[in-house]
Amino acid sequence: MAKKEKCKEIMVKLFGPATGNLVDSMSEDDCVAKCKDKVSKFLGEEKAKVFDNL
Amino acid sequence: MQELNLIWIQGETCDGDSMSVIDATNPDFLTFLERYKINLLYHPTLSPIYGDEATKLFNKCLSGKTQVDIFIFEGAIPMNEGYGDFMGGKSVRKFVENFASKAQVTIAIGTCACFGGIPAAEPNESGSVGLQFSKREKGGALGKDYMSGLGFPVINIPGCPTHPDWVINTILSFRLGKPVVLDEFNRPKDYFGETVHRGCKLCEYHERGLWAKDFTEVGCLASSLGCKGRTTNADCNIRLWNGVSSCTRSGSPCIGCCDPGFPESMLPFNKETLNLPPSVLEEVNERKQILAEDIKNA
Repeated sequence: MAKKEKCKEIMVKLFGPATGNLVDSMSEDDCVAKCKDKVSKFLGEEKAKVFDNL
Repeated sequence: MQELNLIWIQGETCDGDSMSVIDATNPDFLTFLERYKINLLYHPTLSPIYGDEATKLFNKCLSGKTQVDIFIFEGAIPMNEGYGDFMGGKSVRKFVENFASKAQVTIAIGTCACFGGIPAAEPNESGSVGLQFSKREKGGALGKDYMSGLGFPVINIPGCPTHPDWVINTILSFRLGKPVVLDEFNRPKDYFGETVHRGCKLCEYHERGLWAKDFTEVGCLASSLGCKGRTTNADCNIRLWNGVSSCTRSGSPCIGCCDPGFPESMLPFNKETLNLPPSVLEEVNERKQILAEDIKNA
């Protein structure tokens, strides 16, 4: 599965279906960093670790 | 956990939603903010700053020096010129556009901010609208394509006033990682997925077709007193207000204040004005038949 798809799956699970559109607008290269930043800000660094293995 | 910045701005409003949220209990609003590390940058009633000091803060937010994570807007937005001139000479509309473009999450609180509400009622000389809806139509002040930094449209939490739990729990969802799922009017389904009718203590009278003809009579408030609970989406009779009651539980018909068309679509409040959706009618008729058979067989 592409990074973007994985990011989308995680973001939708954490915030809701609306965030799927946001991930769609990101590129394959920067989606992990951008999503990690948002999760870290709202939910804390611990939850953002889920992006470390992508 | 990092601190989140929340800013609360008002447009054409009576302050009712602010008062409702300030009256939250278990926890109260300020305890909630403190517990979940939410920094209230500004609120018209709670903040000690005003005038130049407030304008400086707004400019800091708009220049990006201070990040806006959650932007809450209360009240309708006048679109016609000459109405609702606001701080620093900027119109409310411009103000909202600027803040919404910076926010990670934008929340409209109260029916006026969501759909236009009372300021948008006819003749609506100010051209008032909601943040992303004008009554039932998508658009509003920010346009139908608006998306916040976290990918959400404006999250609509209507009500006249709104229930404090709806507001606090929605914000809390973004702190706990609980997905927020929206309905066709961008309202969180968790609170607007059921009708006011659900959980109403007068439901059994409704099923038996026993209608109260006056406020002092026992019976369902729908037929003669115009209760709109069957077609208004909100969990008022499940969540309860102040933990103890609701409009219908206190003997007052629901006036449909969470409906996008409120108030016009609900007028006159004391008359049955809306047709029930066919699915509800079918269900009611089915239950009535079952009940009739039960009585016959008893």
